[in-house]
Amino acid sequence: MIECRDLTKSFDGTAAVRQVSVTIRENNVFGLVGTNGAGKSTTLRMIAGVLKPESGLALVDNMPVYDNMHAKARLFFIADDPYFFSNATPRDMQRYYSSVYREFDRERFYLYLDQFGLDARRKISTFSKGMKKQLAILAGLCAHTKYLLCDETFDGLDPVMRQAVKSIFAREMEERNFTPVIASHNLRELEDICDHVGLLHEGGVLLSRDLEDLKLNLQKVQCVFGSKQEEEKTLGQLNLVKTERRGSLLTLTVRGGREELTAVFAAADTLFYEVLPLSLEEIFISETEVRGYDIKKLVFG
Amino acid sequence: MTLKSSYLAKWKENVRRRGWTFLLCAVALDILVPLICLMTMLNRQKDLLEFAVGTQEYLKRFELMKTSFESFVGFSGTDAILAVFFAVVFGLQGFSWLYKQQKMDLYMSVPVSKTKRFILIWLNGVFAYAVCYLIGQLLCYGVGAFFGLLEPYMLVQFFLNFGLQLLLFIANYQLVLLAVMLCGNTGCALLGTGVLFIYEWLIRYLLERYMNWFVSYCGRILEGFWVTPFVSWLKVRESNRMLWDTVGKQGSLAAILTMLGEEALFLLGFSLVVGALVYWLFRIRRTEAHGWAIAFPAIKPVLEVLLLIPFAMLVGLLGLELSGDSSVMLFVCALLAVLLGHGIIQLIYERDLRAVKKQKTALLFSLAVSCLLIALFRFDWIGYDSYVPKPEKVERVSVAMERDYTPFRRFDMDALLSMDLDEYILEHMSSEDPDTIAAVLEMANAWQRAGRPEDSTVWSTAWPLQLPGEKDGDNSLTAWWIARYELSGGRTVYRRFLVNPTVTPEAVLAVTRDDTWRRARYQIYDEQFANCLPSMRIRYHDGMLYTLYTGDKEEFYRAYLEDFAAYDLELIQNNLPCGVLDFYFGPEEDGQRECVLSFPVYECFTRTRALLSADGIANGLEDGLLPTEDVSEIRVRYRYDPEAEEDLLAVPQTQIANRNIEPTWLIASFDRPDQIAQILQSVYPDRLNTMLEDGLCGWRFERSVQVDEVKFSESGKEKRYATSGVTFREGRIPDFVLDALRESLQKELENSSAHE
Repeated sequence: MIECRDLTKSFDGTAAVRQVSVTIRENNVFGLVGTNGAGKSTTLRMIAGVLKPESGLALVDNMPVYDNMHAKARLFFIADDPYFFSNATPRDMQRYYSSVYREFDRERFYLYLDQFGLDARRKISTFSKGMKKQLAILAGLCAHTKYLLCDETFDGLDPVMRQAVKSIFAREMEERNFTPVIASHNLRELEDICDHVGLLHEGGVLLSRDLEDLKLNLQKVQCVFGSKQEEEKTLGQLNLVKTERRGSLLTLTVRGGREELTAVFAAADTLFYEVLPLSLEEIFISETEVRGYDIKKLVFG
Repeated sequence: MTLKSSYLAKWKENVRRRGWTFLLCAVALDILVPLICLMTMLNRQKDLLEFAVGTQEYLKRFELMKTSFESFVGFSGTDAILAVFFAVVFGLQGFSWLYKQQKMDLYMSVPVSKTKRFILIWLNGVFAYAVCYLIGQLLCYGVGAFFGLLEPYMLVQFFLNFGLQLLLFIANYQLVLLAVMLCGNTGCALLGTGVLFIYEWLIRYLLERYMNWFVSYCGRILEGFWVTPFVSWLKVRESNRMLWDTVGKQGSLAAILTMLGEEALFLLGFSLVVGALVYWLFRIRRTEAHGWAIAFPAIKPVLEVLLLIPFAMLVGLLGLELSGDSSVMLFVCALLAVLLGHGIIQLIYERDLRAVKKQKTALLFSLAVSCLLIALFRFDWIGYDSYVPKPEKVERVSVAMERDYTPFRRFDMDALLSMDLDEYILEHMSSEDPDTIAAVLEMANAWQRAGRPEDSTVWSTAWPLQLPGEKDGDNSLTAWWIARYELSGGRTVYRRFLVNPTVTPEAVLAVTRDDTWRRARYQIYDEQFANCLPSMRIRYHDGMLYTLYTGDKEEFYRAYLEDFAAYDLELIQNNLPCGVLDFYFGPEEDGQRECVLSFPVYECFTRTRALLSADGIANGLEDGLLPTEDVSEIRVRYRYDPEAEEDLLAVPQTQIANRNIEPTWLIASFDRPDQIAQILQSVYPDRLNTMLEDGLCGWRFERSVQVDEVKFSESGKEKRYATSGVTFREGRIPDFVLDALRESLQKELENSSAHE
């Protein structure tokens, strides 16, 4: 388990991360989302032991990670702009990673390289940005560390590659104790991969929840009521998060299970109703608006 | 096995990352240096083959070739410069990953301990240099072996040189790493390296210049112990090399230990101390410091102050010199320098023009301290010049004439190295005699009372007593002296003052009679001198004839010591030496290395003279310089210049009025025995002049009338007199010589009239 306790870090007197407390459970895909400058990379670097927190603790399996090679041996950090030695080939990088990560799986690394169409003898400097990110992810996976910290890693990948990587993640999680932590500003990208998400804004954590919990407990309902009285009566029974009206069509964001809500609307006098699942984006919009933030401004600028 | 291969992989990664620097080092040390060595030897060999094997010229050329070869393999200046250069390159490049976020993300996140990483990178730099240097040296030795130049002592030289060179590299490497750890980008690290390399020199230079400019200072700041390794190495290099050449090659353990002691231990100590500091800075350095000018923001103002103050003092001094000693310019230039320096430093720190408004405290502090320091020197607020310690506070005193140059002490008998006499006396005298202490204080106070004149001219006009000995070209009566006061409480203070022995004769006399002064100044008192006596050669000469003393040297030495006790200010001011004793010692097989110490013989040295006479050596000047019958003719000349202020011939102006006379040499020859005898009574050999002590006695000679040539008769030629010159003593030129010169002038005048 990775645990951040009141992590604080500032640069040149400007706070980049303020008292961030997040717990990342094992065998989950954790998504760390937020706008540019929200503190995602700084938090991730503190978790990776690159940066020393000014205050607070970053613990990896209960070990402080900064300047602790035992803790660092359990994680692999892929920076937003990963570094490869000058004139190095994937084979050279494999040699280096093999020297620092004892369980680095060479065979699998070359297998993946083959599957992803990356030449092990070609200079990495001639690779495209996406290819470099693929290489970094493959190295991270083959390092066989418990935690894989990815900073905006999926940004440069095309949809096919992204899907391939996701399936490798899934397989790895099935095969062993593997916990990817993915930082991104793109909610859509994380939606179908993350189990748990943490939302950062201006250096602080706005929200940290299981995605499934969020999805199960929050529903979008589109409906048209038969009468005003029926509308008032039904809405009174619901835990409403948000209500939008377009003519007689109501779009509601409601807390509660799908079946429970279906039962409520089935019993009500409605001309039309439909219970729809929420996208991650919509969930965040709803949840953060409840807390007084305009998420459209936060996440989509 | 895993650990070993893991280390190897990390090592390879480090080598790969630093590959170009290692390659550069290999090219310079393993290709260029041996190649230059080979080409030089080939050239020398071509030169050598012009002579037949075994001839003297061949052997001489072969020795030259060997010396030339040794410059590639032993204590070479080029090697040292290359060591410093590669220390800078390896230091800056080895840890340059600290300056890039991308690299920091990788290196700081992988499970490698900081300490191991530091050691790996540090060792790799040292290893690369050591291997390259070793290979280069072995190749040079291979060249030497090919040309048959190797000697057994070169094996010791190889290890000594390799060890010292490696230490020099490490010490400089540590200094570069200190700059690397303090800075956050390569540009600043390079600047920082430059500052660390020159900072001590700059501070010492500034202090020296300020002291020299504003107070009477005896120049000791640039001497002594230096912390900057390259400078300290430069300071001991020459003496170490000489030490090696003179005695080290013969396998003197003492010499080798001296080299190790003086240089190696310092370099080792420096490397350890700075290395510990560098490692500590590496440990506490923040990851996010990449790209910053200074990795530790808290020290920014301190660094600024440390840079601004010397800069202001330097520019102030420049303003002072350019303006011709204007106080206003001194302070204005310093002020401008502080403002300009602050702007530049802030620009480097922040890379933003607006940043010049930041850190005003550092600016104001630097300004205040600079002005205060400049004022301290300019107005001598510390009272440096006016300071004369109270007699009761002085426990011991050493005193020496500045740049004292006598033939009385010149060598370190162990190493046969020449030494600075004033330095030696100040270090070894240390007199506790109250009379000597009082005498030195009196000399210092006399200078204070005279208004601290800066040179002898000012002194003589400022003082009512007209000095008898002041004349261009003659030995000077006044001299700068340096006193070293050892005060109660353990403090040692150096002061410099002008001494005029005619003003403080009693004080100077007391010093010249002080036993510790005599023992420090005259090497003849040394035990080692006495020990060398059996192998010494003693030669007496009176300026014209050189004769080897063949009697009992021990007896002669004891007799001379007894006579020499009379050698004091009184003796040398009132008497001229009648001869000189040369004591030769040191290796005899090579004439160039033979060392000589000379001591004077006076008429009153009766025991010495008696032994010389007993050995058949004529001595004393009672009968004149030479027997008259040995000289057939003496020719004198005089440079007559009608526009000269002084005319020895006193030619009336009426005689030369309205005549166009060019400056001309007037020549007169004398061959009558009575004239020759009189002239020989009036001249003094130039060779004996070297025994007259500058600053203590003011003997005057007449340089305008020169003895141009002394022609020897047949009997004189048989005696093989030295051909060194003689000079008239002032006021002793015989009238007939002046008359003859006047006649010569008359003829010149007549000739010029005839031409007109």
